[in-house]
Amino acid sequence: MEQKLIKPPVEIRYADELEALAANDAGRKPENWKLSPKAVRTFILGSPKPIEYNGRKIEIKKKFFGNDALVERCIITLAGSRGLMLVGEPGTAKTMLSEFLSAAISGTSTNTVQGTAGTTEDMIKYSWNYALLLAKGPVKEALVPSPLYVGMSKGIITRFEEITRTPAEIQDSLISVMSDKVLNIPELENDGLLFAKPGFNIIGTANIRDKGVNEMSSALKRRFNFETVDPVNDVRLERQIIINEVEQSAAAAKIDMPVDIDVAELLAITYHELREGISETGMKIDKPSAVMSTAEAVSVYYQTMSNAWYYDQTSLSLAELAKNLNNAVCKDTKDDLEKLKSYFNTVVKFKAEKVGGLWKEFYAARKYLK
Amino acid sequence: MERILRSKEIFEIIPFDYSQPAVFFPIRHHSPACSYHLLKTIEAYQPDCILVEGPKNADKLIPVLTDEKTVLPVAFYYFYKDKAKHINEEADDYKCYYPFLYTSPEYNALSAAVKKGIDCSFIDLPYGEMLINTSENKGIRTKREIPAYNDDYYLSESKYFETVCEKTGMRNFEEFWENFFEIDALYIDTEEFVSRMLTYCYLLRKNTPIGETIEDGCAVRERYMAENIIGALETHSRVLVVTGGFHTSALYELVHAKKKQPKLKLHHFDESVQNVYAMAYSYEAADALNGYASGMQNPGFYNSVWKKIMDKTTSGESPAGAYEDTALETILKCAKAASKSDLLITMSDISSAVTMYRGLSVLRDKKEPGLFELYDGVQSCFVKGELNASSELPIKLLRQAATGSEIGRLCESAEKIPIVLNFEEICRKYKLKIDQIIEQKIELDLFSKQSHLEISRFLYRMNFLGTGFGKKLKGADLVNNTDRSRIREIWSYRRTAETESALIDVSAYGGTVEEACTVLAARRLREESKCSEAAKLYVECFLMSVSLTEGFAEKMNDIIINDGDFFSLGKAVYYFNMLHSLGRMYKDERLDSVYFMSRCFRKLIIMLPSMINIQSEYSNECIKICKMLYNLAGKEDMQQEYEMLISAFETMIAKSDPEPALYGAVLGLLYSGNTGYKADIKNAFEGYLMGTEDMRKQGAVFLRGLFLTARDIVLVGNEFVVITDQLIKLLPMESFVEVLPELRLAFSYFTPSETDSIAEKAAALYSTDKAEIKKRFYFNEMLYSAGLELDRQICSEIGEAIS
Repeated sequence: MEQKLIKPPVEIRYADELEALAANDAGRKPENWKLSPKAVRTFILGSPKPIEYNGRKIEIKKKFFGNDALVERCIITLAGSRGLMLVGEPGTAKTMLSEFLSAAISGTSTNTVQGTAGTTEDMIKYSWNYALLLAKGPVKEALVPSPLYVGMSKGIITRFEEITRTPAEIQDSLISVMSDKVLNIPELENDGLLFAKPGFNIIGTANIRDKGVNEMSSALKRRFNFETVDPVNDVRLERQIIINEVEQSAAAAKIDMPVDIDVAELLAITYHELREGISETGMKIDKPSAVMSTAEAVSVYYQTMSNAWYYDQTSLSLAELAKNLNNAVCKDTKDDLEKLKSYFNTVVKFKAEKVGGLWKEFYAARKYLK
Repeated sequence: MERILRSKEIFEIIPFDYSQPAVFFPIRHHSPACSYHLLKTIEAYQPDCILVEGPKNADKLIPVLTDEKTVLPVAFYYFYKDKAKHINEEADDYKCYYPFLYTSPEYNALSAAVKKGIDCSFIDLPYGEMLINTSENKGIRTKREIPAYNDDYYLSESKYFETVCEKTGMRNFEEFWENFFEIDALYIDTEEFVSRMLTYCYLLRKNTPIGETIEDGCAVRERYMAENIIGALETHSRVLVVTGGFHTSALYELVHAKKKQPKLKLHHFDESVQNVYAMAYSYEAADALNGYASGMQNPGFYNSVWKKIMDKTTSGESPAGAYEDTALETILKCAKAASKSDLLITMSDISSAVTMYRGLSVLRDKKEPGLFELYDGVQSCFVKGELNASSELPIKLLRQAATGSEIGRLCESAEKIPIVLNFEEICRKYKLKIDQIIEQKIELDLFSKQSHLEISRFLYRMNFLGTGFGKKLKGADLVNNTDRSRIREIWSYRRTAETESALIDVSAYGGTVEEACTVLAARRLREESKCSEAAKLYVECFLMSVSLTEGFAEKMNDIIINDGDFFSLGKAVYYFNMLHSLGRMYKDERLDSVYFMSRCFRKLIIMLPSMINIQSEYSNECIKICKMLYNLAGKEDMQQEYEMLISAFETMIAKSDPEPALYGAVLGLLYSGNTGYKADIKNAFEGYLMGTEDMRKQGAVFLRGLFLTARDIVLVGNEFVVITDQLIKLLPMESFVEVLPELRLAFSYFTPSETDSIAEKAAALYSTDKAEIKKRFYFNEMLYSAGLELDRQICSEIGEAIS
């Protein structure tokens, strides 16, 4: 029996949508793009009406929330000669956006270099199959292409994750590729120039909390357009993202439990207030130093839901939610625990008294904060 | 959306027909598209009368506004003084601005009318009437930092537009407007443009509750406008009515209603109560107003668009492409400004930004890139790295370019307000740059250059009038007694729209800046009852070199007589004395300051004896005044007061239950003039010493007062060191800790060498010397361990002995 994938890539997960969009796409396409820029936008930002495809109505859901103009700028950047660099706080869906863009533009989101402190120039450019190299010498057959090489040769997008975790001198190996669109392979002598095909481009992502670890050189910066992805600033949107993401994860894990909209809203408000350092009523709160991203909120909800599902509970327990919130927030410093406790003792207490309901239950769960 | 906006049905409700006696043209303030199609309408309709929305009492300013030599932006500045309490019981003054830019349809309509010799006038209620007919905090009475006449909030603040933006995928109302009304307008004919405007505004009107239009005064204004239109129709055959789009449908209905409403009865206000002036304005100020939904934002950008439209149409071309050209021009301007700020913007960045805004306009189905695409292009291609406060300079520069930096100018024939003319003349005389919006800096060497002193006085005067023209960055502050040693002043100054409006506000007080200051200062003095505040005002007048002549001395005398506040009088003495001593330096000697000083002085002497029992929290302030009086009495021109002061001091010390610090200080002052008081001081101190513990604590406070005025008493001889030592010895540990701050403060009045000399005397009391008491003692580790061990053994032996 075919095993399911834990996390199928975007092009598989949304294959129907991508096919339907391609079939209905009458827009002008840059060379080697699977979809026109307008269709790429529709894929990421959704369509108000379903699209007819093979007799079916395919609904194109909105997949990226908060800043439509940013998505549009990303698409236009990728159609031009500069690379796209997505920067922002952790958990702001930079990687997800780069996957959506790659899948929609090139049909694949897996042509990826993962930047780490140990990333070397061979991992970015090419390396060799040493057995073949010894047997046949430096021939194309012995060359092991990197994702960058693949991107250039096929005319597709190469994603470079966490670029600032890579040492600066390694990052700079991208400069000639970005400006001349050519990769030099001196070992292949006369055959040693790989010219990028149209459609090739690079999407980099960088976490601003890593700033200063390996600062990008200004020469490399000039070859990218930068887009800052901010956390979602609208509680309604954040609630919707939590609901959508949890629904998808639950479906994949065959957890047959509906998402409680009220709990999702409570969590969205909690995350929003802790991130912004101010409550809905204008009360000032200490901001925890931990990452308070929407992705973290999704994870907190999903863990709570899994707990309820596997331990045969009929509904979500707010005590469990508070415990998971505690684990998510209090990671780095003890101060964060104090800040979380103070949030419960001020804002949550106030809401418990004024609004009651779930907030009362949530406030009662403060005893689990430790 | 376009389909809805293209609806022809609207013309069945509000016809747009050149064969009609009245044509209603809907506009949005400062909209180039409205101006463009309005001019085409004027050409096609050939009206014999053009009526424009705007307070009727500004008709007299139309020739100034439309004069060829007037450079926009210009604003009409309306004011109304509700002395008769028509609005409410507050009897407040009200003011508002009505700015005109080259993009303003109202300006273009009036300008075309004047050029063609067509009758034209404003048709809205005069400002005061508008206010009277508006509920509090509604419409024109909405509390804003800068009040504006324009009422575009109808168009952009409606909940209805939020849905429209959501449906059309636009970020906000401005983007929606730019796309569907501004850019598209260059590709459609006038009929279609008007149809879109009317449809949008009609739907908006239908979504606005009638009650709201009554509360915000809109309904009455429309009634009055309709009256004026009907009046014009009686004498003209083709009347073009130019009003905000929100009013168009209502006006059409009112003008064509079968049953006419009775005429509105207006108040007749004098020009001193209600009037309007034309004044030079700036794009920056217009943009700030537009931030309150009073017209299109980013006037600099749309002004460039308007210039392109006019260039193209006058040379017989289509206006299409005006946005594309402006976008390129603006991005180059922005890159140039960035290079001046040491931010490297390469040609590659510029070309990438151009690709970006063009690409985005195609992706967003816009016919040309607008301001929003321009912002996107700059953000994406000019900002390197994370977008934050330190990297957003390119966006700031674009914002500046889009706002525009020009300042308007009124034609010479414009009736200029004398005080504004005087202000400009002085600026010209002293070469102060007022034709730039960038803040200027000036350093003034007050005492070596007469012109610098005069500039300083002028800047003080402008501040006194509340114009916000100058800001003193560095220099002596005579009012707050800080930085008195500075002999130079550094000022920044900038002429803004508020400068002129503030001058207009005070124009009733005089024809020159100096005159207005004089009248205003005299007026303030008349309302003053506190001597310190009156003297402070006198200092301000001194800095401005403004003479308070008429009735001043009499009023000041009254204030001094009636002010029974010791501290207020003390402060006044300080101010008058300062002016007396600085007079020669500032070349403004005021003889009356000595007179007022001696008046206050005498009054203080009378009050002094009763101050001896003052509460301790006020003692410091009182000591300061006593010291000041003593020093003043030592001066040549105040010697006649000396005896009286000493006598007052003597009365003070003879009183029972004195405040110890003040008591000490007064005794100290008496000792300064006569060393014979040493015995009194010793007696007094011994009294504290021999008293209860509480009294001893007060002894420390007494010392603080004494040392503040006569510290040499400790330095002469040994007696005071001995009795201070006794005091410290007699105090139990807890009380000592309690009075320690007082003692520390008392000894802080001595110089380091004096402290050394006192320490030497104290050391001698304990048979030691200065070097010895400065020694630090260190424990030997071995000795300490041995001591501990010994201690332990003794304890254990004692323990055994007990058991």
